[in-house]
Amino acid sequence: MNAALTIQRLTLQHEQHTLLSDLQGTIPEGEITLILGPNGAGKTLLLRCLAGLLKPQQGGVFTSQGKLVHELSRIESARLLSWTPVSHNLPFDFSVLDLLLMGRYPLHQGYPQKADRFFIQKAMQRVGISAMQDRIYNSLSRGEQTKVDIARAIAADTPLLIFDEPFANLDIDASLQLMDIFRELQREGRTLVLSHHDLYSVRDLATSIILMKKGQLVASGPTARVFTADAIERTYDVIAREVTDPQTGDRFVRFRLKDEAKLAVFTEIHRSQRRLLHGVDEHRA
Amino acid sequence: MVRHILLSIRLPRVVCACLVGGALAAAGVITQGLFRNPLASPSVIGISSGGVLGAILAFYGGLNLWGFWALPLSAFVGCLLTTLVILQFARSSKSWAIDDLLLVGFALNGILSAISSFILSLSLNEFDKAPAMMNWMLGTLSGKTWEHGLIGSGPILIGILLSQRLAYRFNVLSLGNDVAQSLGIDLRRLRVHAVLLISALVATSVSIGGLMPFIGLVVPHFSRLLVGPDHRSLLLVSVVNGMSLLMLADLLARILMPPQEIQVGVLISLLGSPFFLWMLYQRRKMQSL
Repeated sequence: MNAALTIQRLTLQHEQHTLLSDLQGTIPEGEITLILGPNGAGKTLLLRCLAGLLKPQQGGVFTSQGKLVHELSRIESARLLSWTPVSHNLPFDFSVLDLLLMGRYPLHQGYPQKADRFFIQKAMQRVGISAMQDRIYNSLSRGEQTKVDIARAIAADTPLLIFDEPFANLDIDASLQLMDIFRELQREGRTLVLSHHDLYSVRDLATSIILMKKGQLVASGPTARVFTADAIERTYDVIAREVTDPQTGDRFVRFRLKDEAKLAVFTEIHRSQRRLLHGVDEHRA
Repeated sequence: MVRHILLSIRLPRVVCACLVGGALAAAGVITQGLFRNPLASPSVIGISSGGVLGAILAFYGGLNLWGFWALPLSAFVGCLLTTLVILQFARSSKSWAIDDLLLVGFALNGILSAISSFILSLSLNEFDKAPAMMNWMLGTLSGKTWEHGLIGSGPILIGILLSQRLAYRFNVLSLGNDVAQSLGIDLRRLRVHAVLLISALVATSVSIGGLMPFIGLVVPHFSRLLVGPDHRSLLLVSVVNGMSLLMLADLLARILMPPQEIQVGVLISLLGSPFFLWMLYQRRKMQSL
């Protein structure tokens, strides 16, 4: 198994705060890796480091060729990976088609060709948004916007796709549909990294996971080995227990709240992180 | 006689109106693209005032006697510094929301205009300086000659052409800084180019006609209704619309109250401010949905 990306001793600081400390792990090539953790764990920060958008103070993320991601040339990086943040409104009323064409900017440099339109049509069909191509992105619901964002990433045709909370705004059937799309992308040999909040669907989706808490690594590795009741208790403030479904024999983890008072602890870190997370991107939607 | 009036008085004035209108419209499109906000424009966020202040300072200090380029160059420096200050706010880690940045621009605009007014008040008794300064602050095209048009046309035409080359990048930039960066846009370079272009366009237009508010705001907005948000078509259409608008406004300013001429900048402010309020109102309405 090759690593598409390797995280080595990654430490990220902002002003006096250490936001990510000494993270280690690998993103295996051709697999789906989930990054799990409570709010404020630093999932989005780690994703932005993986995408080469943040420059860590120590260590870093290395490509399979041994280069640091944030030191790749802009073209190299754009051909290697695509980054899809949580959907937000755009300042101008671009149509879905316009937006997807922009996703292929690294390939057409502002002069879209026939091939670009072909890839875009295919991506829209895959995500099931062909009927929306002339709609204004800002007029779509958050769930629909998420689908468009994902189609943009698919159309960009990179071997590595990074998504921040792709399931955040989707209803159940859209989530299941998206999981199928992700698995299909994986079968094509692409590597996917997603941050995720729903523990129930982890086993269905991920082949590899990274568990984080307060900017630190809890555990990482193949899902079957790492996704245990013990690891979940160390990541979230819950009591977890493993159950086997008597009918199917599937193993899954059940959990309940341990101590409600502890919820308040996270908000403090969360605040200092938000600035870095959104940078100047934050639009008042 | 008629021929002389047409060729040496009216026509150069029309050409100057076209140049200034086109330059400000183009600068407006780039400003909005750069700040990712349809409410931004060189005059709203103080870039034009910076240019006017630069020109007025140069005039007050007698720099215009040094050479022909002293005034436009000071206007350019004024625009450049103002844009850089706003951009510095935009990039600071304290993460200003984009709407707050506009407020920073408003404040800056207020300060710069106040300094300009102060300098004007200092030189009110100097009859060789005060009227010229006043004209810059109010914006007028009266008395413009072929010379103004010829010298202004170079930077403005080149500026518009270069802006057109950057146009698609502003489309990509509207996806957000992060996404644009991951799509291979060099944010730093794009910002530097945009700031230089805006400054050159605004400074040249200020040097010709003084402060012409709202063109950079109103024209891109209307053009967007016509051709959509794609900055490539938007820029061209805005330039044409900007030319037509300022030409018409200048005509009105000339004939509305004969024999007195209204300063065209004043006329545009009068029409532009209600329009700006209307835009704000529309935006609030959209947000409350």
